[in-house]
This record gives sequence, structure tokens and C-alpha cells, in this order.
Amino acid sequence: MKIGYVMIAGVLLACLAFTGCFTPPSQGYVPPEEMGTMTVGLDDHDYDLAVRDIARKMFEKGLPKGYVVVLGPVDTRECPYDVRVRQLQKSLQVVLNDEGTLKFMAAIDVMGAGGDAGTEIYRLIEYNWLNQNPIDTEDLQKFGKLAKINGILFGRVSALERRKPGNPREITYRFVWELANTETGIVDLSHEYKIRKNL
Amino acid sequence: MNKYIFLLGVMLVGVVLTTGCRSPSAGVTVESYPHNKISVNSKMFGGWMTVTEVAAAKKNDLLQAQIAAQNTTTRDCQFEYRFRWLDKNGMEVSTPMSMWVQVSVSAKEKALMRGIAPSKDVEDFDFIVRFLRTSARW
Repeated sequence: MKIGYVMIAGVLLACLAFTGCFTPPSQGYVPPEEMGTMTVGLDDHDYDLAVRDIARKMFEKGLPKGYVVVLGPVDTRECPYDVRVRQLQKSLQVVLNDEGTLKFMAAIDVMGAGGDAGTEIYRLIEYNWLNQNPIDTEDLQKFGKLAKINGILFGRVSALERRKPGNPREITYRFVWELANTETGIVDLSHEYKIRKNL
Repeated sequence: MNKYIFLLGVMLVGVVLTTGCRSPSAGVTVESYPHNKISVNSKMFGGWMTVTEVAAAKKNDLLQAQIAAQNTTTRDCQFEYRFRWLDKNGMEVSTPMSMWVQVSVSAKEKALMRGIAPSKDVEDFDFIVRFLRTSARW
């Protein structure tokens, strides 16, 4: 009886050891394109998803060659967690740069190119966007000419959080983008993207 | 003695199955070159999801691809997919847009997964779909 159990245990151990020989060693570096640990705030993967989505939308829309886009104001006041606008901006810049047709500029660089007058108009545009006022077409056109850009990408990031029975949380982030044409004053592209997470 | 052999057999099958579940796998892959080729790398994933359609077209000089996959089971399924874009020489065009995207489908539902090439140099793509996997498990 005992010999039988010893035999079984021996064979099992041998199987496990054999399998172990074919298992590659684990290591600390993990593929950054995978989702990683999920957090209630926006994590790295969420930024990538948001950038991928707006870039995809712009590619599909097919804006004219050499179209210069600037990431304008992004309203994050309805989001209880930190939103790294700079990260969104830089990631989008990398993606558009790879594509080659569209050019991307940071608002701060554009303000420099437009001089004091450019800065003043940009502040006005920013104020109107943050206060949900309509954007004045004339301001857009003036700013476009001063800074030599074709479009301003406005953003709004908001989040709704719910506590569920047993205390798990559900959070939905909503990214709303509007690309305003600085020549015509009309919105070239309007897009919404949502990320919902259960934790 | 027969009892021991039976027990041994059951345990061996258990060990093999447990090991199989832990083996990483690319699930199902779709390659667009030289013609659409679908490979089922994981029988388990292949039993859940079947790639039913592969469509590719150029829009604004950028390659767009859409893959349809059907959940063939009566249970909800969470999975992720990724496109890898290749130029005419088969070299990978690296882009931050080539990332794992998570999707959920209901029982028997068909999922449509769309991707657009990051540049005009892209001529082909690789598409990988697999069960959800977080880097944290490594």
C-alpha cells in the first residue's frame, strides 16, 4: 500500500520536474504594450488607448497633407483623478509624427510663435472652452494666422465613479475631442471615447 | 494494483492539464501576407472564438483592417487583440498604436476589431487575438 503511494508521488515529482525544465525563467521586465495592473485613476495603458483612438479617428478622417494641429485646452475639472495632459500631448505628437502627413505642436510652442498677441488670443480661446462658452470664429482665425496652424484640438476628460454592493468600484472616463479648423472656424472632427473599468 | 495505476493516470492527466492551462499562447493569429492566413495556436482559444472574416482596404493611403471573430460558446468571453504593422519588405513598423486592446463579447456575439496603419509605408499586418492577460502575472 505504502509503496504504491511512494511510487505515485515519485512519478508526479518527476513529471513536475520535467515540466519545470521546459518553463522559461520569469523576469521583471514585462511587455509595456500589455495592460498591466489596473488602477482607479488613469493608468499608462488608458493614456495609450485614448491616444490611439483619437489618432485613429484623425487618420480615418484624412486631413489634408501638412495640416498642423495643436493640442489646445483640455478641461479635466470633472475628473476626480489626475489627468496628465502633457502625456496625452506628447504621445499624440509621436503618433502623428510617425504618420507623417499631420504635424502636431504643443500649445506652449504655438503661443511663442504667435507672440504676445497670439498668447492673448489663446488665453481667450482657452477661457471660453473651459467655461463652455462658444468659441469665437474670429479668434480662431486670428490665432491660426499668427501661429501658422490649421486646427486646434480641444479636449474634455470627465469621470463618473460608482460604488457597487460589496464595495467594488466602477469608473467611466469620457474623452471628448473637438478639432476646430482655424481657417473656417468649423469643427472638422468631433469624437468621444470611453473607458470603463471595474475594480 | 489496478487501483494505483488508475490513480496515477488521473493524477498525470491532472498535471498535464494544469501545465497546459498555464502555457502562454498567442491564441489565434491572422497574417495578411502573401494571402490571408489564419492560424489557431491555442485549441482552447480556438474552441471559444473563431475568426470569420478578414477585410483590408486602403483609406487615405493608410491600410485599414477589420477582423470579425465569433464567440461560439454560450458564455461571455473577455479577450484582447493587437495589430502589428509591416512594410513591403516585411519589416515591422513600430508604433505606440500597436498595443493590446481589451474586448468583451457576449455569448454567440460577433466582435469586430478594427485597426488603421500608423503610416503610409504599411503594406501588411499581423493580427493576434488571445485571452486577457495582464503583465502583472509575470
